[in-house]
Amino acid sequence: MSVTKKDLVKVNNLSIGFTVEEQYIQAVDSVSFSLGQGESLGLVGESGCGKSVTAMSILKLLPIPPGRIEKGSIVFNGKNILSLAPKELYGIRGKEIGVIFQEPMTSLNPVKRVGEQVAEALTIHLPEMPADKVRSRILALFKEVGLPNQEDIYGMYPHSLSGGMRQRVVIAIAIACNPKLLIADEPTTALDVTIQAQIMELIESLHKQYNMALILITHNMGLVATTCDRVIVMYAGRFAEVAAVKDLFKQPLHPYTNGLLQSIPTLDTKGGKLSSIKGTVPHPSKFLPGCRFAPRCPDRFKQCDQNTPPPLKEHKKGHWVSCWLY
Amino acid sequence: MASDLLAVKHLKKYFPVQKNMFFGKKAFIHAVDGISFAIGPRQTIGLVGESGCGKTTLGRTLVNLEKPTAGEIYFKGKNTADFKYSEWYEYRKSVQFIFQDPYSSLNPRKTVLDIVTTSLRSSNLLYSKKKLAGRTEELLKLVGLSTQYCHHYPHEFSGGQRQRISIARALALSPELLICDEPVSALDVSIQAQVLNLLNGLKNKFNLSLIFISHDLAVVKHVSDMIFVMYRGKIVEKAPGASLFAHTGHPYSKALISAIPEPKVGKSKERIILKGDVSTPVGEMKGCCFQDRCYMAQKICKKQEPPAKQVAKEHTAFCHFA
Repeated sequence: MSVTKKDLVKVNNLSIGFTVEEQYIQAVDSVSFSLGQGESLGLVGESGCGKSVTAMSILKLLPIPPGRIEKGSIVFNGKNILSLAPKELYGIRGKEIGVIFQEPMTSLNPVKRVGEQVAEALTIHLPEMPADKVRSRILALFKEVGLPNQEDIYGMYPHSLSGGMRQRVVIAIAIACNPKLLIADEPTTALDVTIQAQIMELIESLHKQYNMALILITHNMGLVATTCDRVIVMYAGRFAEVAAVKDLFKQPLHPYTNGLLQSIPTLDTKGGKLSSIKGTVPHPSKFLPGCRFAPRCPDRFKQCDQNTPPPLKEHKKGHWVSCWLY
Repeated sequence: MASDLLAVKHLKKYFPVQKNMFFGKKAFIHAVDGISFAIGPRQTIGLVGESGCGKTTLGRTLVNLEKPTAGEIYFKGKNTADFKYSEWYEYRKSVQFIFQDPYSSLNPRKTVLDIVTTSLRSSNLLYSKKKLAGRTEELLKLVGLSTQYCHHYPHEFSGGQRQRISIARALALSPELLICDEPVSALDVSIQAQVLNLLNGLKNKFNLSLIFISHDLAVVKHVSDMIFVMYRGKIVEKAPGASLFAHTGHPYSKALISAIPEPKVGKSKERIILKGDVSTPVGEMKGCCFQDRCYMAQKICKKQEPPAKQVAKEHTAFCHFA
């Protein structure tokens, strides 16, 4: 795909599989995408579609084994991630790529003060920083992510913070070293709507202020519409559609995207029947040949059952789709 | 009113918490704090609010899973506090509950047949195995599951299918009122739409009343006739679905509506970002329950509890400035 800005991340023909209970399951099947500096990309799909696996592979944060990278390459900032030694990876994780995990309760260490947990990120990546500087930097970070009474919070344990505040601490850790790329893996799924609005506002403003590239993994189409420049829609380990946010919501091409958008009740819909996608997402061990969405697709025809859909094709400028219809 | 199926008056449910281990006064969490409403036949009420606002506790109190601290629940005009054993029996038959998490609400060691027919067997309505199997098949068909699943175990099903089993279980005794506690929040979007359509269809088919608890305003708007917005154990706004969005009265409802990220581009609406989090409602609070997060708060909000103000037809908001 052509991206005018300098590519920060370039993933090419990546396939990832897992061995679960002596069965090999392909979680991600030949996906390619790139992300420019300062760009924000949404990765949407239902649970189990491989969106987290795709994003975490950029950090090589996959359990290997049972995971296995079958083929493909990941280039981040000119470096080939897959061939890097573990030591070189440490220099990238947390420093050049920051991650916000889904569940702030499990991603923070419950027996360590939150200040120390943020300090960890700084002392590992910037060992020459003097201790008092580290502390003042952390307090500044806390202020930046909107935590009140920074001095008090520094010495608190995660359990005494609310979900929203914990997520702010996680964000502080993620941006501590001014990363070039921020990966947010369902950052607000565990939070309430009003808190979700607070956190998304924070992530958006940090993204703009520091010109960080952002990958937002979510199942919430609404969040993508308000936050991202481009979207990738994933289904069962493959990319169904890649487009600029505007184009995707105005004119979804793939039947799955279309179905997904129509099955969301919005504030404008009036009662009655929601249009829904019939059936369920197939288990990865039960993928059939042909298009993986075919059994649920309203527009399927013969071709769909027999042949895997063509690789992403540019239908309109910047709007790519992988479907036999186009 | 006699025509109401279920009426609730000043219902309260407090949970004790020990503030200090040895001394200190005993404090209470006001999970449900003086709620009154009524639901008629074939009506759907949506309860919205954030986590910890007491919506689930309210639902659980209604089916007697929690004993109310104060207040009355009237079922078909009769106070449940005066119920005799046989009347409780009737009540439990007509008011059924669907739980939030389809993964933990089904017994993993029982087959679908056992799960769905537990209530039938314990209420001595059906004895013979043949009849039980027949009824199970009927129920599975109703909720859109294949009848061949009778002897399968819950782990063999996906989340959406499990929620269908929960619905079949709730329907087994032909209830009049279904209380659905976040029935779709654990499900994926495409499955969520299926389950919402199913609930809607069943409601029309069996003339059910529904109390629909959810944190998702868009979902609630889609299914409900009346929407109650809850905050810290109190209802802050009661309104018919369309009116709530057209003439929003309470600042909390406004913030809630503006916080929903809509799957649309271009239409940028003004977002109201609330400060802070929902605090745990420990102890009595003077004045308005929303005062510490409200962007409109004045002196009066700290002193006086806001009165009910009529915003539109059948639409009341509990705010000084509504």
